[in-house]
Amino acid sequence: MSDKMQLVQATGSITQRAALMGRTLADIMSAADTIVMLDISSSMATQDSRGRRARIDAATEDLAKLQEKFPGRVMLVQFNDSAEIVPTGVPGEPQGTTDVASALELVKDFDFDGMKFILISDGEPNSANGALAVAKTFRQPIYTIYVGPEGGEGRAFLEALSSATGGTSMLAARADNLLGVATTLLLEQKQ
Amino acid sequence: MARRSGSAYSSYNVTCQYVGDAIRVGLPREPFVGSSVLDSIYRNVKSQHIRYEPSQKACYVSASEIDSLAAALYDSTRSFPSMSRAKRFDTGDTVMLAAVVTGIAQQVVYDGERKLFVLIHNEREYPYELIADSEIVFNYWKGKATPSTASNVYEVLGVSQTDEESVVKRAYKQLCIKWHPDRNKEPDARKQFDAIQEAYSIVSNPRRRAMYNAGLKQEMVLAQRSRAEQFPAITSGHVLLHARMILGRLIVSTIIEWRPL
Repeated sequence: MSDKMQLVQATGSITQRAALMGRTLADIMSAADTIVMLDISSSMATQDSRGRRARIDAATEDLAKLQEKFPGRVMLVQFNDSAEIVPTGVPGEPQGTTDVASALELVKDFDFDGMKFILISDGEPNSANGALAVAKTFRQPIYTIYVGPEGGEGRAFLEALSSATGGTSMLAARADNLLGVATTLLLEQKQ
Repeated sequence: MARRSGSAYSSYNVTCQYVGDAIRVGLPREPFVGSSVLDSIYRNVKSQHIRYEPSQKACYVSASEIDSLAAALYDSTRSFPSMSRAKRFDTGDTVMLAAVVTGIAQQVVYDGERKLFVLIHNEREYPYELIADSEIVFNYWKGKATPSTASNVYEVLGVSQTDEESVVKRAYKQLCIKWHPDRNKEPDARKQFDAIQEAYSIVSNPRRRAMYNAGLKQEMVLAQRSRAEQFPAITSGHVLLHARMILGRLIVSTIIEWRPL
């Protein structure tokens, strides 16, 4: 069992914040201004991240730090064959394919001024054209963080996606610097 | 119970599903009162005994808590103005049907004027005639609710989740006039006013409103998961209630058929 399997909810996550403040989930979510879309496809289990750890473990660790640093402001959406909101802030185990479009369609409902979108992925989507078509309908920029191998084909797609929305794409050096990249985004885009 | 005249009568089937220790009662039609009102009732009065699922048009009753439920039903009538031996009851037909299926009520009377009555003739301390009148229920809760006791921002403002900005704004202004501490001398006016401001800050902001709505969905999802873990599904089926006409009323008395799915 990996470390994150033991977590019920991440510190600073929506559910933890709600419990801490004695508020409802909806109350806390209404104040969230950052949506992190995390790829949990099977390729995220590849163990080429820091300390020979899986990409998903490194990403999860940094995601946990991000939520702790900005409590209640980050809402996690995980996706593989489909997408779902994860208010506990703890992503599931990697499995399945990479349906980026489903994640984008899910978060499209929150595409309003002041919302920041961060997409973290390492691979090629099931349908690049489908994902790009959805991305182009966004009013807010989508920032992408590539956590795959250097020179991987997935990076070009993420660059194209963020470019289509007016965002930027960053390389997180096999997830080594995800926290730093995301934090910079949050602080720069602070409302 | 006073006899009514000139009413049209009808019977109906309900769907029952045993879900572990609970009995799920499917509704034949929409509940009489708004789902937000029912939600409030279930949350505030007997959330431990009955769970209502608007999306499924169903309510859940814990079969192991029949006595507790009966007590809760009785207690819930205490706060209503009594009508001699008749007690107003504060829920719609969903609970009535559940009461029949779970054996609390021996008879249910339904007439075409959207009124439901449940007769409880057991040998315990609840020999009361319970009356469900959706309009009374609605008006009661509407009159009783204050902004700070509402369960979500839409109830605070007295609007629905789908109401447009203009409707929300109008409701907000009216509430501000009513609860402004400079005008309203109630001791909790400030508290109510603050609740109104907070609710409006969410509903009037498209991003926050969208996220809030998603949060409401998540709350339901989590509640369903929690319930599913507590009561894993065993079997399900359809039930047909037996009904007969007595003194011009349709009396539903027993379950005459259980058809497993």
